[in-house]
Amino acid sequence: MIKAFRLLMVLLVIATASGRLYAQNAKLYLNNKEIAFQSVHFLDASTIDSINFYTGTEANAKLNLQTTGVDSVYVIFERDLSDVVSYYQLLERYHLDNRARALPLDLNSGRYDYVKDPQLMMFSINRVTRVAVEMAYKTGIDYINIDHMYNRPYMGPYKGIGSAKARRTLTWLQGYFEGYGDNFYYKQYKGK
Amino acid sequence: MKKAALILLIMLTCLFKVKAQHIPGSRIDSLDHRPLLMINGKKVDPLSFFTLDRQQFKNFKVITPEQAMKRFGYDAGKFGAIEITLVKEAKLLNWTQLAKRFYFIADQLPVNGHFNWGYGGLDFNDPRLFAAAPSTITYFSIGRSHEAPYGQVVWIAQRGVLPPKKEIKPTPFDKEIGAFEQIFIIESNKRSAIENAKPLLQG
Repeated sequence: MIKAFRLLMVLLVIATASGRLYAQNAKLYLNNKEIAFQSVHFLDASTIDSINFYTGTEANAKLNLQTTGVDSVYVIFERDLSDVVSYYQLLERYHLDNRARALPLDLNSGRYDYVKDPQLMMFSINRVTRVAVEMAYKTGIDYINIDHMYNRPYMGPYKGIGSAKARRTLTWLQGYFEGYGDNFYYKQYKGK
Repeated sequence: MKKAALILLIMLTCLFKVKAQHIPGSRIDSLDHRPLLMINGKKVDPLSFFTLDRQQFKNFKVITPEQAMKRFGYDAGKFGAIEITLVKEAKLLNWTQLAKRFYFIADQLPVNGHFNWGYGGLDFNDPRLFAAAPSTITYFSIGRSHEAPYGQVVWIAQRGVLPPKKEIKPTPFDKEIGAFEQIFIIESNKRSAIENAKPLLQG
């Protein structure tokens, strides 16, 4: 009985750990533009037409993307980009001056300290609720923090808005890139 | 009959008070008892008080409502006034300087705002009159308002941890400072209680 319990615990640990390793060597595109993967928290499922998966070679052959040697490529297709703004455009809309572009961007991720390439971030303006400049308590470094509405586009007010598949896939991508072991939708769709 | 009329009158008064507190974007209501604050002779937003270093107070003068109304007018002085004089070395950032310190463009910022001093928080009378000692503010943001008219709002916060009581050095004005501080703490607590009660009232 104890042996069975131990085996179960080991299996649980392996299942969680495998989820964390899943997003290695993956890229995210919005139409034909590579974007920072943290953008999945800020894109609005209701304006997304589809999200497709390709291997690097496939994406290169079919969409002419520079993805040779990449294991997994996710392409978000969105024709109506009227609601989507780049990182610098967002800073401008929230009245930050040009000096702010050089600050590190922190999105409260449990996995990453700062966004590696913040200039590659894309935002649906309706998903952004707050843009802050904070001073880190310990180091005294200024950094930018951006809040978004709800973490799971598949849940909350988004339920019923836009394509269900896009909502599910966005939620799944959040788990995939952030390494959530406990994201229900991530676990449910990680085999796709 | 008289009793019934009295109860009806009390109920109507309560209804009016609750309604006044629900005016969107409005802070001026029955809970507002903030005195006017003058620092070094300049009128500032009363919440600026929380950013000051008390060791730098040279003088702390309490002006009664009667005197304040004579000096500053009825609306400005009806809850009294406080005049603080700081030592020469004390530095204060005005609204433009503070916004610049946090990489924002002051002219473009919204005129509604909220300040959190760590153990409480209130909306500004006017954020453009807010003055703060440098290095006390650690958070400056623009957020979307959850209340109509759903525009942008400034949110400012300072370090939330109070130093241990042993480390707080006494000043000659501790009694007056304590009484002044209580006005804001009481208002903040009452507003939080109203805010927390809203979902219950809505069922």
